[in-house]
Amino acid sequence: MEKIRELLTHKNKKTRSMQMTISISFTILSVCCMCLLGVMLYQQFTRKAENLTVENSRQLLNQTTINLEDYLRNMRRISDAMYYTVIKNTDIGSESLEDSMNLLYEANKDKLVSVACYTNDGKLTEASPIATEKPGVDVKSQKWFQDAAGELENFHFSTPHVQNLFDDPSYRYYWVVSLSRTVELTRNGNTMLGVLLVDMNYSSIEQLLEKANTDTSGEYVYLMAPDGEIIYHPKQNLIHMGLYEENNTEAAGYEDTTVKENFHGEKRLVTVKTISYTGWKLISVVPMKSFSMGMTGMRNLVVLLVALTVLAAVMLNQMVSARISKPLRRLNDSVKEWEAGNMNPDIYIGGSMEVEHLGKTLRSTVAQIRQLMDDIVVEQEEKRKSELDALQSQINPHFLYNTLDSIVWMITGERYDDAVFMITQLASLFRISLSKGKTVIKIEDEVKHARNYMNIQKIRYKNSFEVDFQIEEDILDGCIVKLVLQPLLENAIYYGMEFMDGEGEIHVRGYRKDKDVYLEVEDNGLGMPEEEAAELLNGKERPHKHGSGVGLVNVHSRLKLRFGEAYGLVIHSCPDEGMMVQIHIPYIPYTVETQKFLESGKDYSSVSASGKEGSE
Amino acid sequence: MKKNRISGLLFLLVILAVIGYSAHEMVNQGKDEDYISVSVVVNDSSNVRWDAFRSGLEQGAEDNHVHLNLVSTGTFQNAQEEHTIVKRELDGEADGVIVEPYSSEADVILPTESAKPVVLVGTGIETDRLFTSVMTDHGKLGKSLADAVIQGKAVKVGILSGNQSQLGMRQRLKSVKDKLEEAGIEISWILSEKELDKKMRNVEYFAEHPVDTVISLDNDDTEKAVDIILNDDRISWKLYGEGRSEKLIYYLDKGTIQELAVPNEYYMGYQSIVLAAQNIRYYTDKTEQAEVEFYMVSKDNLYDEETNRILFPAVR
Repeated sequence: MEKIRELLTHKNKKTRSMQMTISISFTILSVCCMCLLGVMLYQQFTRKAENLTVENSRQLLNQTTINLEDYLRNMRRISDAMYYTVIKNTDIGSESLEDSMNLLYEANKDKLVSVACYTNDGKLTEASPIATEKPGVDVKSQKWFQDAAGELENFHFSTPHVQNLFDDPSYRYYWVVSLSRTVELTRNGNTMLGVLLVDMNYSSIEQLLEKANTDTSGEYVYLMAPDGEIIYHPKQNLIHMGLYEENNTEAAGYEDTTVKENFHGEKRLVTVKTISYTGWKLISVVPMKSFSMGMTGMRNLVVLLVALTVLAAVMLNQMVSARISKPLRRLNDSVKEWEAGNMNPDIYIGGSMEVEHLGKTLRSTVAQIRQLMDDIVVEQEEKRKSELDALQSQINPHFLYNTLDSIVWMITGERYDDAVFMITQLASLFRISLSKGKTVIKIEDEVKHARNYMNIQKIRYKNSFEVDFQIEEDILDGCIVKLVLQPLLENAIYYGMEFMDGEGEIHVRGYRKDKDVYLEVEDNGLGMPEEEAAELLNGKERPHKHGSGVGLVNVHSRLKLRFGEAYGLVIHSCPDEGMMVQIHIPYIPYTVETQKFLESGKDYSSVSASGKEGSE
Repeated sequence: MKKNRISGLLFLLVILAVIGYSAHEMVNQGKDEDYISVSVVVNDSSNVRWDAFRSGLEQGAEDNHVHLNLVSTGTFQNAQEEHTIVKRELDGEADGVIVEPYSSEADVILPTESAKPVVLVGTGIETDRLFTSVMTDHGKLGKSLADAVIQGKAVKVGILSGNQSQLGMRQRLKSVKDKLEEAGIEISWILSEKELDKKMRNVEYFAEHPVDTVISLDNDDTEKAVDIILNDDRISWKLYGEGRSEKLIYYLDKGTIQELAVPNEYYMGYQSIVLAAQNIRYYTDKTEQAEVEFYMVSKDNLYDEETNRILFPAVR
């Protein structure tokens, strides 16, 4: 049970294509309908065929009865003709019946075997066509004679038997049905009783009934006497030999009707019809299985029709489902394209009204989402720019405070020239710092700014260290984020020079390598282990001592933000030997366009990559 | 998706198979595919003595869906003639044959190479191989004839022994001889079919070798014996014989023949077809030996209903 539930659940979870679902649903529906229709059609046909078979058998039985009655009526007429036109008008004492009897026989010889007239004591008066009696034959012992003598007024039909009356030298023996009656004979004016015998050829009756037994489906007709003795049966010899059985004894009790009977396990429809005058019963037997045998062709036809219709329905379902699902599949393909990353997919609009509406809605949704994403990008850019501005603005207050403090001390110490120089340097420094609000400036200006700064610091530190600048000329027109050298110099002074006692050296180098620019600030201060130096760029700032408070991390972040992840600071340091901090930036010639582009905060790496491809 | 495609394809194949099957059934409807063909080879096939046998064959063929081919034959002069016909039928269209062996030698009658079913009727053959057969108990038939002769107070008996190359005839003769010898009745002469033909040309033979009773073991010999009686006033045999032709029945009726042993040849014909059809349809090597009853018919019971059915199964 659990498994079935699991299967069902699993089945429910399965996703099928829309076309498959429509196709399967329609196909199941059509198959069910067709099968139902087929079964109903077949049953209808079966019922009609059964009725038709029963009706046919009844008609056949009626027709056979009519033919048989007609035949027997003819026989009676022959007997009547013989009696009323010949025997009654002949005195057998003086005249012979021979000519008239021969004439009557000849006229009906296809149906008759013989006609004979006997006196009441069993002596032959006349017979046709053979008049020679077999020696020793006692007709009075024969049943037909006894029947006729017993009931004077009636015709008597015997059951079939082999005629045993006349000596036929051609060795012929005939099965006959004897029609006998009592007649009045006139001999020499005296009347006496006699028996007129008309022996009908049994083969005529047999042929008549064989015509009704040409059906090969198992249906047959047989004839029996009122007491159930079989007169004709298509398998009479087999019945006699015990190779076949018939339900004649029971059928003898049936009235003229159709009865359903079960004989030796076989269901049959038995129709009974009584033949007038003789009391014989004509029985039609229709085995029920003959219905199904006859319906084989119809069953095949119904199956063929149902199968063809199902096939046509399946194909039609396929076409219709494909037509219905095609616009949806195309719409689905558009969505898949969108899912795959194409932010500007060609959304399909078409098909039925509903699908078209879906397409339009989806297209407008995609456009809205794209717009929203653009807005988010712009917003992010704005945010980044704000961050940059905030970082830069951290420099000014510390430095200004320190420098002004130095100037105050100079003036106080009446070192006016130094104060003037300092103020001049400070003014130059601020001019470059402001740079009309630009964030990106020429390397030349940045170097100049660095020089100003170092000049100020040298005065403050009373020339306790040496500074030299070795900047290659060809990088001076390159772009750089402003105020990146100054923090490095500040770092070198505060952490490298403070304990050097006049032996400190700071080297500032600038050069170009391939398409990149490198600016290095190297000191011979205390330095630190490489691992510790590497940590400086991961946000582990050393505790502030003096200066602007803007650390290496700040510079590193600004460079990366502006030029991309590939750029920034590199620190090389060795304990007691000093430290070298390197600025790595791309070489971008300073123009109004490049300056504005970098200022906009857009990612330079994508531009530089495409620029590289273009240049290659 | 792939599973769906396979299911769809299978469904389509099933539908196409149903269409194919139904169409095939409709096209072939009414064709008598289930009919089989059986040939029947008997000596002198047009002889009226086969009438009852033929009726039985025809009824059996109708009931068992058999195309019946009663091969037209004359009187065989030797077994080779029958062998040729049987071989031709087995090599031809026949699915099986029903044979009345002219001789008891199997090799002489039946081609050894054929695997088609063979049903023997009337008489058997001497072989180690078992054949399906439909025949009377010849020993019993001979004994019944001998009993009738003994009851008729016979003193000196002549025997017409028919075709003694047939096993059945030899069995009949042996049985008759044993019974008569047991009863102490003298057997004056025994003539086979061919010897009888020769003796019939010498009309004096029977006058010179008088007997009071003759037993004929074969229909044709019984008819010849009737002819001898009718043609020679000096001969007044009490005739007992086997046979069923209308001529014999007529002379039984006239009193020329005392008693006839009549095998139920309608049953023999019907049953032989039934067994042949079974062997052919079910490809079975199973053999069956069906015994055919015989009836002793005298003038007293000639017109009994039961006798009539045996003697005259075919309606004229």
